[in-house]
Amino acid sequence: MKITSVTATPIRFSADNVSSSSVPLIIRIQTDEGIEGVGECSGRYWQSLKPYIEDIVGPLIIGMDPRDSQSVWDATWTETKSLGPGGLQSTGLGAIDVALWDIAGKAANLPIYKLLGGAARTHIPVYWSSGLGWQRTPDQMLDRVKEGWDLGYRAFKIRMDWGNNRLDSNPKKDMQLFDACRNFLPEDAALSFDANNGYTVSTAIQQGRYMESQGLTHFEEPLPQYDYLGLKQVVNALNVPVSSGENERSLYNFRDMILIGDPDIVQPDIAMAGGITGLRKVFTLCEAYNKPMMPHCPSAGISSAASLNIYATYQHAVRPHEYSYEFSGSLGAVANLFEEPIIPENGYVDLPDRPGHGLVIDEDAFRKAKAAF
Amino acid sequence: MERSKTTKPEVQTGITLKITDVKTYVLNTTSVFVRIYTDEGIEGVGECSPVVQSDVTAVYVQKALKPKLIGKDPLDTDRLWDDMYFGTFKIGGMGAGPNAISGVDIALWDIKSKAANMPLYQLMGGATKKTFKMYKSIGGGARDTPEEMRQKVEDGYNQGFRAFKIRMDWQYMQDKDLKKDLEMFRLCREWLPDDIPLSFDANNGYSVSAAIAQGREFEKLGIYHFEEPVLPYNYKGIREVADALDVPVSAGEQEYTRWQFRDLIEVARPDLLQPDVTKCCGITEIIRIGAMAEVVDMQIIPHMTQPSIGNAASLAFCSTLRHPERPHEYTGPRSDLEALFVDPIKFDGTTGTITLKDEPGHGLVIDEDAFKAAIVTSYE
Repeated sequence: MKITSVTATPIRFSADNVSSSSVPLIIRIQTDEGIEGVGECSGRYWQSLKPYIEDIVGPLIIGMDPRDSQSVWDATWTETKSLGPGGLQSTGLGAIDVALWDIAGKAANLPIYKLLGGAARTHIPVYWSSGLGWQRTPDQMLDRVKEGWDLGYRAFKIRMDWGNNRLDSNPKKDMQLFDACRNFLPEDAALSFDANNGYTVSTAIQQGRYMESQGLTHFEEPLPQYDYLGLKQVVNALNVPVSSGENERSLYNFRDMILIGDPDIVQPDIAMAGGITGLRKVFTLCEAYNKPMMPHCPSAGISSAASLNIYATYQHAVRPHEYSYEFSGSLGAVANLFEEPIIPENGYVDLPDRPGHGLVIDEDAFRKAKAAF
Repeated sequence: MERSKTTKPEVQTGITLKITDVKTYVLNTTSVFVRIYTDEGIEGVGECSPVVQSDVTAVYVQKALKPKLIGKDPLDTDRLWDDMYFGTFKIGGMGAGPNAISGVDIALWDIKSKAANMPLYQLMGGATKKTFKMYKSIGGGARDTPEEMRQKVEDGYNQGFRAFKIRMDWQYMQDKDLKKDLEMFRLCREWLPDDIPLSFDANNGYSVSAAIAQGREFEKLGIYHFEEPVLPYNYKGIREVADALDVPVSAGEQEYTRWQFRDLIEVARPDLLQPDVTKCCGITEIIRIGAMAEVVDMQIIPHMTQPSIGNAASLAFCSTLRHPERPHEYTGPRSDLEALFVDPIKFDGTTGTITLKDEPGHGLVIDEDAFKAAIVTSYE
């Protein structure tokens, strides 16, 4: 089998009120045997990603067997490394890798989780993830949590989205957001908190200490992502599990983060950490160092399906997987994009036993979403 | 190419397979083979390292592992690995248990790649190369005279080998005859052309200081890699030797899982890692060990003394590594083993290489008549 074409298409659902910077970029890989593979990356800065994928990576891999996913990785990673393994490059290659595994699954008539080694479970808990806390009032954030509650979710995460350029901007208001959500939710509903890199070490420890006393499930990215030594201080100081990893782009970054920062939970994002090929190695590292993993995945579409496919294959992957539509369009729009969608019900995703990652694009919906862009 | 909705296969439920039987055989080749049968007629065959007591390994497969396999889907290799390893951990976290699991796991991957209609190497991610230079691995140094060993090297050279390793097989003896080892290496080195790699395997037979002193002498004469200089569990000792010497020091044939390789890498820091797919819990685990090596940019040169299925599985694994540049271990072609297969994987004496086959699975299919004739004990 040979790869014949690689396309990257930004899409938008006209009904959605989302900015053009956070739409998905859909990767479609065609083969000479008529089997297509589909991947997705965050459409942030799609203007750079699209030519990278179509004009630079495409010619490197057209003619290769799509099932040789490691070989494709080797042929593209080093060749294009000067474009930046810290961002654009790994984002594009991760999405391509997902599309390749989709093809391999379809060619073998097996779900990706089966190709990888079998699912420990196909009924997988997911948690409802809501962001933009920095610009929201407590009531606004609570409304987002209530939306998830009404959909049947019983595990939640609120994200501050501060970023590392607004450190310690308003820690008090962050706790007001947390309190509003914690007070609404019953004690047995999990609530996690994501500082999105927004604190310094002592602020993180103080905030974490308070939230521990109120009931906190995990504390995500308290510090700027590159501060491994500070991360270790926070991890050592707090009882609550501290997580990090969504900003790590390569296996080597994960190695250093684990060895130096020693987080309690590791959070690779499939679209950024190398697709199925990359995540399999990162998860191996997690197992070798006895680290629970909880994938980062704010997409409701292909990346979510692919991430769940590999997450399902780890016996110890019992924590809920992230779920959010914030970077992929509304749930209804995402469902329409596929012939048979994978949408959680009552806080669980049931992985189908369809070949590949299980999502096949509905051409009419795709055409409309492409035209709406 | 015409675009159509051929992306949706006709069978929507995927393949479901069930394991119907597991049989283990000790052969007159000293091999231990595991054969796994399914309700769809797809069969897989794997090999366990036969170290010392083949029957113990065979019984382990039949008594400890088989009950965990019957009725299960053979494609669920991770699930079955967990059941086998954690489920029998207390009688075999190292040694016989992993040897037995390896044979089963290789057979499962043989089935899985046949079901997916891909060669084993492709199911593992695709081959960076398919033709491998093999080095002739010659043991028995403790027993042989230097001249006898040199003669064996010459014989190997005449067979077409263009890379060598001599093994002392000292095992639990330590610093027994350092002078003779050195003389043996010197004779072989001087007989071989300068550009032919020659490695030396102490098989754990040296103390740390003796290993460093010997290694320095080998370096002067020209050595390719220095294998297992000290006892395998002496991680700090391995590190002392690896730090002191310039030549790459290797270890790993006695490590059985990703967790042991983690400690070997962190504490012992050898230059080269040597997992053995027939010992380290099979293909499932060697893929993970490969990831561990990649994380720290260490090269892998597998340990492999079974020139049949074990070798085929090991080469398939190596083909998926990014830098499989160093020659692969090979104890040499054996007609008794080749006879066991319909279309054996052959050593090419004109180039000193072996090329992987493109058939689904690891590529070795049993010749039933020859196999039957080779059986010493059947465990069914």
